[in-house]
Amino acid sequence: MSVIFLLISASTLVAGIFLVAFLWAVRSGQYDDDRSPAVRILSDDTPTEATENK
Amino acid sequence: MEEHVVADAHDFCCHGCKAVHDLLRDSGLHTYYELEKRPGTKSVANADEARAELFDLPEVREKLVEFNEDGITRVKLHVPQMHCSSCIWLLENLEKLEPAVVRSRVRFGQKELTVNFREGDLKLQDLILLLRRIGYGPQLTAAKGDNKPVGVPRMLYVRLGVAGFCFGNSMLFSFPEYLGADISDAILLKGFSYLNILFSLPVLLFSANGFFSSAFAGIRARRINIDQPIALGIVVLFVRSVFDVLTGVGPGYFDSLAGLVFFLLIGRWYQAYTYQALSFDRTLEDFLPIAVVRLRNGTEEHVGVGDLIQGDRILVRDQELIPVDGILRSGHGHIDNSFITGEPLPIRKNEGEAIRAGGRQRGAAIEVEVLRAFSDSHLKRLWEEHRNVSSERPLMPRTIDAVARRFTVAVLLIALFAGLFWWWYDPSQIWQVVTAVLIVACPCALALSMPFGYGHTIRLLGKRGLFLRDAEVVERMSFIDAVVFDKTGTLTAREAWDMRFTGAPLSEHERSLVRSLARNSTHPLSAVLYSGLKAPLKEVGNVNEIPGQGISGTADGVEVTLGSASLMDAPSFTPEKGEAVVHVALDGRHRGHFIVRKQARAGMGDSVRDVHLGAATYLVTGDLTVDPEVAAMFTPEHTVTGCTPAEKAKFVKQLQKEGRRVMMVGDGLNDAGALLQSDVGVTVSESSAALTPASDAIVDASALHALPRMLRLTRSAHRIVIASLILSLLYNVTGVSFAVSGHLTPLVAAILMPLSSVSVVGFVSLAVWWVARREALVSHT
Repeated sequence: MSVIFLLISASTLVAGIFLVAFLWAVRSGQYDDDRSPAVRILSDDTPTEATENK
Repeated sequence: MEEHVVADAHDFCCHGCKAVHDLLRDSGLHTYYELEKRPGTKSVANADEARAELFDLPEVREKLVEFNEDGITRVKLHVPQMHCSSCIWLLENLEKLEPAVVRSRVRFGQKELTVNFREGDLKLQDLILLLRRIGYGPQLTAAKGDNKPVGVPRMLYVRLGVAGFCFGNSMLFSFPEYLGADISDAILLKGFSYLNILFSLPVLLFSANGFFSSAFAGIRARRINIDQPIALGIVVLFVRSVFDVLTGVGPGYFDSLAGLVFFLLIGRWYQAYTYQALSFDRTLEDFLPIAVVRLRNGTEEHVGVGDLIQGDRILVRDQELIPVDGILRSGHGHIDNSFITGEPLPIRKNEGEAIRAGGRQRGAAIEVEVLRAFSDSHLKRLWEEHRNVSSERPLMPRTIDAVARRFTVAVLLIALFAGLFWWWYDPSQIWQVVTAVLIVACPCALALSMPFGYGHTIRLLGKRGLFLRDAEVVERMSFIDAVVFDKTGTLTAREAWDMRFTGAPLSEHERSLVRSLARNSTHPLSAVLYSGLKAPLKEVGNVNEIPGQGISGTADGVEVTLGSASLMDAPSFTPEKGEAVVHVALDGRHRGHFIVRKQARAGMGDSVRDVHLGAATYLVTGDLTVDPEVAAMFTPEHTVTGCTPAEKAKFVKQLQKEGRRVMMVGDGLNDAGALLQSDVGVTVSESSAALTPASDAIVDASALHALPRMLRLTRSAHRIVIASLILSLLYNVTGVSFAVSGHLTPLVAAILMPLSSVSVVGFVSLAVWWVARREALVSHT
C-alpha cells in the first residue's frame, strides 16, 4: 500500500515541474506573440552570403 | 491598385515593392519573395508622419530608446505597416541590410519592432531612414505616455495554468471516490481529500481573484453583475467542501471548484485573445506631428505644437499636417483636407489666404503664419465639440446584465425557499441543500456563452476586415435599425474614379508616356492617372514638379507636361463641381484634358440597398449636392446635404430620440461627433496605417460592401447567444432540481459542470461559424 504514497508524491512532483516550466515560459514572454515565431522558424536556414561566411 | 509590375520573373503589386526587391537582391535577401505570393506593403507610398531628424530629438529618443549600454542601443518602434509573414521576415533580418544592426525582433500582434544596434556606426535617424526605404517607416506621434498593452496579459496565463494544474490533480484524487474505492482504503481517501484542500487553495486565493474583485466592484457600484453569483458559488463550493472533508461527510467538490475556475478563465482568455490590437480611442494629439519647424530670425527650430503662438512662422513640408489655423505667407498651398472631410482632391491656396488646421500640404514646402494657438484652433474646437456630444450617448442595456440580475435574484430566492422547506421538513438537511443550490446554480456556462459567441463573431469579422472594439459592440450592432452613411470618403472612394479624356484620342504609346510621368508625382490626381491608364511604363528623366500646377518630364525623347492650363498653351476649361481637370501637353503641344470625377465604391449601391432590407438608411453629407450615382441609393427624404459636423451628430441624436438604434458609417474628422453619438460608430479606413477618428469599429474600405452581411451575422450571433443562455439555464434548472431534493452528490456536480460548459461553448462556436458560412463571410477552404 505504501507504494501508492510514493507514486502520488512522484506524480505530483512531475506535475509541479511542468507547472513551473509553464510559468517560466509565460514569464519569458513565449505567450506574448503567437504569430512571428511561427514565421521565424521557416526563415533561418536559408544559405546566404552572410551565413556562409560564418 | 490592380496594376502589376513585373521584373526578374517576379510579380510586384507596386513599384515600391520592386524597389525593395532590388535592394534586397543586392543584400542576398531575395528569399523574401518565396514566402508570400505578393509580398510588400500596401502603403509604401504612404505619407510618413514625422521627418527622420525628429527621431534624434531628446524627448523623442526618451520615448523610443529602451536602454543604451556598451554602445548598443535598443529602440522599440511602432510599425503599423507590417501585415504578412514576409514583413516579419524582412524586419527580423535587418542586420543583413545594415551591419550595425545587432538584432531585430517583431511582435506581430502589437505591430512592434525592437531593434538593437550599435549607435556608434548607425545613427537612430539613419535606422529610421532605412526602415522607411524598405517601406516600414515607424509611426511617431505626439501622444504622451505608453499605450496600454494589448493582447492577453501574462498574469491571465499564469492564473489559467495554475487553475489547470490544480484541476487535473484534483480530478485524479477524486476519481477513486467516484469509482467506489474499498472502505479499507479509508485512510487513502482521507489523504486524497486533504491533498484536494491543498490544491484548491491556489485556485481560490490566486486564480479566481479576478472574479472576486469584479464582484466587489459591482457591489460597491450597487450593481448586480454576472461575477457575483460566480464568486458566491466559488466561496460556497470551497466552504462546503472543506466542511464535508473535516466532518467526514464526503470528499467535497474540489474538482468541480478547480474545473469551474479553469473553464471561466478560458472564457476570459478568449475574450482577451479576440480583442483586436487596434487603437480605437484616439486623442487629437495622436494625429499631430510631434514637432513643427518654426522659423525665427532665419533659423529653423523644432518646437512642440502647443508652444506655437500667434504670429509665429512655421514651415510645412510635403505631406505634413498643418496643426494650427494660419495664413499662407509664402509658397503654393495645395491642401488636402481628407483627414477632416474625406475629400482627397487638394484645394489650391494662394499667398495671403487663410488655411485651417487639419489640412495636409501636398507639394513643396510652404510658410504659414500662425493665426491662433493650437488650443483655439478650428481642429481643436471640432474635436472638443464631439467630446461633449459623446457623454449624451444613450445607454443600451446589455443582455448579460439583465440576465445576471434576474439570475442572481432567482438563485437567492430558490435557495431561500429550499431552505425554508427543509427547515420545516428536516432541519438537519438545510445546510446541505442550501449550499448545493448555490453551488449548482453557479452560472459557469452562462458566463461562457457570451465571450465565446461574440468573441468568435469578432474574430470572423476581423478576418473579413471589420474590426470591433469589444464583444459589447457585437451586441449593440445586432440591435441596429438605422444606418447613416457619410458620402465623401465613405460611399465614394479615394481610389474609385471615373476618368474621361477629351481631345484627340491618345495612342497607346502616348498613354504610356503620360502614365510614366504621373507615377513620379505624389499628387492624388497623378495617382488616378497612373492607375487609370493601362499602358506599359517608360523611364522618365528631367522630372520637374511645379507645386500646385503640375509636372513635366522627358520620356522616350518626348517632353510630357501634365497639370493645369496655365502650364501650357491650353484653352481654359471650367469643370463642374466634383470634377477635376488635368491638361496634357506632349512636346509643348496641348493634346486635351482628362476629366476626373469621383465614383462610388464598387458594390456600394447593392450594399446600401441590402442594408435597407434590415434597417433604415440615411445619407448625411457636408456637400451641397450629391452626385446622381450616390443619390440613387437613398430615398430623397433620407438624404441630408450641407451638414456641419455638429449637425451630423445632431441628426444621429434626433434619430435616437425617435427610438432608433443608429449606426454611423463615416471616415473623416467631420464625422467624429456623429460616430461617437451613434450607438455603433464605424470608421472606414483605406489602410491600417491611416489615421481614423475614435469609434467602436474600423472597417477596411475594401470590406465595406460586406456590411449588410456583417450586420446580419451580428443579429444571428445575438440570437445564438440567447439560445445558449437558455441552454445553460436548462442545465442550471436540472442541477437545481438535484440540489433541492438533496441529491447533488460530488459525482453529479463533477459531471454536470464540465458537460454544461463544454456543450455550451461547442454549440455557440459551431452555430456562429455556420451562420458566417451561410453569409459567405467564411471561406470554404
